[in-house]
Amino acid sequence: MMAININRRGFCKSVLAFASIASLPACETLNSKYYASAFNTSDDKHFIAKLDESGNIVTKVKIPYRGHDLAQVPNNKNRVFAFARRPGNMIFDIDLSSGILRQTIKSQEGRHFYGHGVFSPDGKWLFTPENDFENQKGKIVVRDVATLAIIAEYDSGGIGPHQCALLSDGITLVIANGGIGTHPNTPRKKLNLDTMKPNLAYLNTRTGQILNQFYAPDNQLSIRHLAVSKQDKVVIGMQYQGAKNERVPLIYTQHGNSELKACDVEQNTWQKMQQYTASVCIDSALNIAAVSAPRGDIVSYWDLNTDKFIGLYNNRDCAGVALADDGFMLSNGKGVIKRIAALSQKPLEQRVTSGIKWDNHMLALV
Amino acid sequence: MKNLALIIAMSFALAACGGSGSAKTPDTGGNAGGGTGGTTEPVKKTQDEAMTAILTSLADNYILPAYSELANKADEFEIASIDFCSNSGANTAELTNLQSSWSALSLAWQHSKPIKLGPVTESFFNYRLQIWPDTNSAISRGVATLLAAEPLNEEVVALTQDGAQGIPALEYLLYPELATNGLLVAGDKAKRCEAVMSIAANVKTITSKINDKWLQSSRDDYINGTGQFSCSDCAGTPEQAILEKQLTNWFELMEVIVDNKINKALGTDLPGRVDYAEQYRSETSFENIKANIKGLELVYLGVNDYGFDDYLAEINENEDLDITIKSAFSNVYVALDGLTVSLEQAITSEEARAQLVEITTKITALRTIMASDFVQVTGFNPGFNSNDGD
Repeated sequence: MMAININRRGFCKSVLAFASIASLPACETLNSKYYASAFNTSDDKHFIAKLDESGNIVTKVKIPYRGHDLAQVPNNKNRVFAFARRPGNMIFDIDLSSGILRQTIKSQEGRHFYGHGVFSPDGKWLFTPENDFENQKGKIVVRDVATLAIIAEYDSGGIGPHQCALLSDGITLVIANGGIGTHPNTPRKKLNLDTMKPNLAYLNTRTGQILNQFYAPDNQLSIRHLAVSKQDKVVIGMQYQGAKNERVPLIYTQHGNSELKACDVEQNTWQKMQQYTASVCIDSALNIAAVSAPRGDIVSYWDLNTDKFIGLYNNRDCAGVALADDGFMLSNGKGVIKRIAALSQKPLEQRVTSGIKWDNHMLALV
Repeated sequence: MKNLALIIAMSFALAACGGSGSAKTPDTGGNAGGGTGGTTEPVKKTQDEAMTAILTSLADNYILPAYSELANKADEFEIASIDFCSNSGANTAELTNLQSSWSALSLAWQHSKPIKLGPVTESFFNYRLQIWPDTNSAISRGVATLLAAEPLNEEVVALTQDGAQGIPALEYLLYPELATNGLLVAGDKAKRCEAVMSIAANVKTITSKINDKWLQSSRDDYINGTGQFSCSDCAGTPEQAILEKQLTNWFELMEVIVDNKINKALGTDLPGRVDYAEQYRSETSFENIKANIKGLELVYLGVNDYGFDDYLAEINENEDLDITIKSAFSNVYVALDGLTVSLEQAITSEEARAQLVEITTKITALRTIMASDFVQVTGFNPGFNSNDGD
């Protein structure tokens, strides 16, 4: 498999180098892998980009506000929804092939998004974590993708639902209820650090029933980002809101009915992360996870068979992590995109785009 | 070779003057700005040379003097604590002297806060020197552990949780909330004195280690992008990476001052939340803010040598922006000068609260100029995702 990919990459490069008339869409037909991410420029303009696996920007689309995460419309490699960063109230529907902003979707009055969302596998429904900020309640809002009409709204099971993902059944939504109450009038202010109760909630998207909830072992461990393996094991990246000198585990797993389990590593590694993690990505084939920690300038790797630490890769101001064919794609706030081998963490390719800052998350287009 | 004593004296003369900001003396020679005296035309620096010049200036004129001063103040405080505690007839005046020595130590620490790179981040030194905010009563719990410890010495302190180890623990003992726990009158005043001396010895050891490491290797590593300052994943040069990290810390401290040091204590209503002030027991929280701002200004200026201001003028040829930034600093100092009471008192009156708000407004304005214009003009790219908060 790896050899095929290398040959295909080599083919694309040779076409570009020697034929010069070759177009990237032509390479796309050869099953190239592409990625998407929000980025910002040093003059504070905001874009969504489609990237090739070398980190080159293939298409970029300007958006009016800072994006956070993206979700790909199923079975359409060129259409993504970009979610405005908290407390943004917009979703940007982007066509990556023509480079246009198709439409902007606004949240209802009294709600804002948290920068994340996910489509049902058939692409009919969109699920977004939202803040009912006057009532300080987390919501999961269901929209009909065809009409964008809201067809249901469920309690998320907590305050501050951040990232969510569907299990392999396509019905059960696992939600990172971060626990932190905020209000758009004071957008970055945390209103309830003393009373927050972060939890991981499982929700039946057909009925709105909370099926199960797992609470963080420390009420100031905010559950923020997650990824789900093909075996439905959830890997969770935490952000600790307690005393700055405390060294607490920040990466947990949860599977089935078992409680949250802290991944295993020496305390110094937790300290390096400075109580803050960002993106989580799983390679289900190798059963390993990669988690970025931008304050510590590191991406950590974890063996999901044992929930033990594998290693670290230094990546300044790191942000997005996405699955590549032969490892992970990493982005950072310095305009760098790298492809890193999954097990050896050996850098395979790097592209620096000066003057831009890649935002928190990166999406592999499939 | 620079005269270190002179540099230290100069740095702290600047730090002590307060209120009116720092003005660089005109460049009459030396390497700053490339001038060598006489009629020789200054040679313009390349961008890389300019970055190295800033790092050299920061290392020699700010970082080394700041940590040297911190170690000296820790040494002086330890001696003062031994003198006080060995005097069974110590009186109020002698306690005041000990408190003054602690204040000097605390200010030296606050002056160094913008650095937050290198040895101070090793072995949890920064947290051992100061936990703040103390969200889980680490200070009171730590001191209680020490008061129950037998024997109690520096080694015991170093093995106790961070809350027991640093400057806040000393403040807790020197400025007790209950008068009956004072060092002159407490029933267990001998034990409290033992705790003060043991913590003082621990602080001295930590600050000496930080200072020694900078003198031994960190200074050169900082300037050259080697050792702990090397960068395997730099998009630009290692020198640029270090400066960007330094700027990231600069922005972070700005946010901490506004969000944590002032706004948290202000709260939403009168009388504010005094227990959220950084050093409410000694009522020195506002002095900390002033020391922080002075340190932040010195980072921008490269003290009295080549700084980001010179970089703007020489590399970006944008002296107007430098003037704007210096003006914004001046506005901050004017606002700081407008508050004549402690932060702990200020939060309890409408008029003084308005002045605190004015201070945050001016600091935010400065930060905004740096985060937008300065970053765009220089192309420096401080941490983006690391300050994201999502």
